[in-house]
Amino acid sequence: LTVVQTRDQATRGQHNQEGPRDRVVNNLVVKTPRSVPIGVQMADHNEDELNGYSRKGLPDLLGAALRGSNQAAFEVARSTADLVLPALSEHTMGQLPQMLATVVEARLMGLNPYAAPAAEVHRRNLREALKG
Amino acid sequence: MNQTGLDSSFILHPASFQKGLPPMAMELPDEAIVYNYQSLLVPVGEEWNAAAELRARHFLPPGRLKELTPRLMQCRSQVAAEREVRNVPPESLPLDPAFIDLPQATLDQYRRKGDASDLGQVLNLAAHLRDETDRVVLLGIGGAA
Repeated sequence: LTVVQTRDQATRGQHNQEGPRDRVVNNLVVKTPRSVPIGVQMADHNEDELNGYSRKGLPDLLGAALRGSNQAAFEVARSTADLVLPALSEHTMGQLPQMLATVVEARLMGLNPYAAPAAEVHRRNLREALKG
Repeated sequence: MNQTGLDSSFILHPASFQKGLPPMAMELPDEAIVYNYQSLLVPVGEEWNAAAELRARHFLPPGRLKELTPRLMQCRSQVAAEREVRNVPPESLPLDPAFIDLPQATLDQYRRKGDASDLGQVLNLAAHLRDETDRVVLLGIGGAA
């Protein structure tokens, strides 16, 4: 079972960290941002005491969060891995689902990725059901 | 290589899927998807403590991955090689790896045939609809879409 979700600790991150040991977390990471990274600004009164992180870019924050999460998972023996895309482009996004997740995975399972016999059975049953 | 004796990542190089492309093909030599799986392997030689014991029980032994690696590489090579197959043996049917080259083939056809190409017709239709439409909703189901 493959489940896609955000890596937000406040949503399901806690479940990954302390829930059943029945999963591997694969982080999908984009290495190079497409545009100039948004930078952290200075607050006039430093209400959240975050001014120390000013001038850090969004990739810096995300990278630190990823490393922190992976380290926390490792310390309590939770498996993680990182699937790193060099950039977010049509090419890499095509590679990811088509080449890796569909075709190579199907070949690894001994299936023909270009055949869909199960889908044809579904269609046939659907047509039969509509007759009634 | 790392202390487990395995490469720490499985790299999907675009070049391995770009054999036989025409000279104008889009070249992306630096773009490779990398799978860093080191942190799901049982660390080798780790000093015993409670967390290390848990990792030994729940992480993947490097030996199992090492056994799997030749099969993974074979699958990758098979997918790349299928693009070159012209006479498909009956037991391999259906075999339709042409989708891998479809983006580049679509662009090449557009360069050659212009408005008469598939992409040219799509662009013409889009230009026509642009004046009459302010929202477009695409509906589809899974692989059939």
